[in-house]
Amino acid sequence: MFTLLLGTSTISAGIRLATPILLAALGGALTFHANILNVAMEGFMLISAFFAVVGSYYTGSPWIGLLLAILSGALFSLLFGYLSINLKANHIVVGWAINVASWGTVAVLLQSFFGVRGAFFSEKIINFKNLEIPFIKSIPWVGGVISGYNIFTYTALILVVIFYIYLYYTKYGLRLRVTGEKIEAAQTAGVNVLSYFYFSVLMSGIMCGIAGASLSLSGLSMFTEEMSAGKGWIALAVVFFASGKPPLVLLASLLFGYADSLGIRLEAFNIPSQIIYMVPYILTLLMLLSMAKKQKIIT
Amino acid sequence: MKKFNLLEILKGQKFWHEITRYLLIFFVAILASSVFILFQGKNPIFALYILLREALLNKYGILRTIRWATPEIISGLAGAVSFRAGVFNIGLEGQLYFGGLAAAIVGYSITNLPAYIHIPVCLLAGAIAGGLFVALPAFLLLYYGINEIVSTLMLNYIAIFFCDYLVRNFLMLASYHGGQVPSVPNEVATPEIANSARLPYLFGIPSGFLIGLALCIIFFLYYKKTVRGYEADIVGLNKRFAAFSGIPATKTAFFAFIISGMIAGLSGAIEIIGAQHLFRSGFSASFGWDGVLVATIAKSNPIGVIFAGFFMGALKNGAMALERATSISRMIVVIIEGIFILFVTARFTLKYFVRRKKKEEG
Repeated sequence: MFTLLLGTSTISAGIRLATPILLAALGGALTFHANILNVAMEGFMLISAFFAVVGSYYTGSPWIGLLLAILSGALFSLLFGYLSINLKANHIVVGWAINVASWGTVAVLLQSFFGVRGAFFSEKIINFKNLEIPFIKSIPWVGGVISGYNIFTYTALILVVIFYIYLYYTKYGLRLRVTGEKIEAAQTAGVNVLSYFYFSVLMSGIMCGIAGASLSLSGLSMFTEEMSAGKGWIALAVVFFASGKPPLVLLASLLFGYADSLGIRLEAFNIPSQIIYMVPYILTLLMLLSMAKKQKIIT
Repeated sequence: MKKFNLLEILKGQKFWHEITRYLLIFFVAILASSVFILFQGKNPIFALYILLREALLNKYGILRTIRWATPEIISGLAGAVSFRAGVFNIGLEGQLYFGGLAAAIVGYSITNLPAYIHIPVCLLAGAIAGGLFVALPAFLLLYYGINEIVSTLMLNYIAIFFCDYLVRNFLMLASYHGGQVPSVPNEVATPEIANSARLPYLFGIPSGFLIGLALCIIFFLYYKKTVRGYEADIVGLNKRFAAFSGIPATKTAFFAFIISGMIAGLSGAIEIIGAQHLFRSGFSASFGWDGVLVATIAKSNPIGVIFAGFFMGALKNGAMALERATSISRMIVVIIEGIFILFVTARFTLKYFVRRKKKEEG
């Protein structure tokens, strides 16, 4: 039972599964504070996961793949920003359209680039290597839990701190939060509201780009049409769970990752894993409920 | 009469302009997808011909298109009903799952009813299941102001996992004890529904499709001719204005939310008793998600939903045929869908610019 719940492999798999969610949700936290409901993260992640594979396959360098992923994520986020901020189209509808369009685009491009449908395997997709931390890796249990992830996991953890400092200890973070909370106040104080909106959307695109690359360049040497598999939506759930606070984002991502990993493990024992998969979503609802205030009903 | 004029000013649209605009968008979408097909080294005109031939130009093609259009139209209507009242119910997929499961259970567990009672009971079960499931986010929205987009999104996943759990652990076993052996062994599915629960064909057309059409027309009249429908529209346009005008705004939105969930449940029920005849885990070919798209493309107009749903059904059917006949990916139609929605939304923005320009000029 202990090895099942807290064994090294369960926990480290959970952390691996949490990494793309965490990366995307950190970007989503910025849009959350700017009061933009970003439902397009799924699409950003999928398209950048694809371009990460393209970059890695053709150049043999995962770094070029990462760069392409970030660029494509950024490009799509600017499209989202232009339509929803400048043209004032409904965020949800635009986000939805981007998800659908990127899903189709990726599937069609997959066929045009590599001549395959659905999934693409190749030895030529070079992945990021796992990093072993000296000394720590030889400690039993702790070593297995802390050491041995690739660059994305460690970057994500560092970014949690950076995003937290940015949001709560710099004037720029304060301005971003004010922009989202009370746009009139921000404008009166002379904040360039538009640039903060764009910054948050662009950061979300970039973070989804990194998250997408972490999906496709983390050791599988493959790409599938369903690579993002709802992770963008989970990231949105995480953002709401944490109400945009980076430390809570970390906690919630780990929770989703852990539930996912535990579910996979339990499946091997013929224990219904569906209930475990449901738990994070239920917790998100309860979390929202705990923060909500009882409303006066206008009838 | 004055009330309707106000609505027209708020929406500012003329029928023929709309039609031309949609045709233009269609043209752009076809052009863009042609570029993608050319990119794959294939002939776009041939692809288009195959798509059209298989979806619309022969009898079986049309029947298949109708089969796929049915759930799209009904769940599109579910989306439209909630969007019109300003509620973004994107949990259609989850409500559809519960509706489908409820209809399947009623369909297979009762065997001694005549069809004219059994079928309505199944449909009712589906609608009630969808309505009950949507009551949760509706209450959360009403009492706690919890964003319905997030809550319905969460509940989609909860519903899909929960239905899977129920089927795997309780209903699948029932099929082995109940005598009826499932057609595919070890398939995660309920037993097949009784013959009396299956939707018949009327005049050679699946009756589920006719139910969908009738519902759309009923809701069209509801919004055009009744005070309640008009009030729902006002609440959707501006909740505060509606409340100040003496319309029970929250109640109206709540009511629309519940109705929307019930229609989504009904859509799942019709899919089960009209087409699949048993509940498979993961039975929905993203009908609920498509419902959001259909409602968006139709701009929440119930009559528009018929056309948009039929369009999506034709695309879905044609795309499968296209993939069988050529090596072009069926995902090409997903690009068409994406472009459609983008342009339909960008429409609002064009109007926004025109209005702003007019203001600047005088």
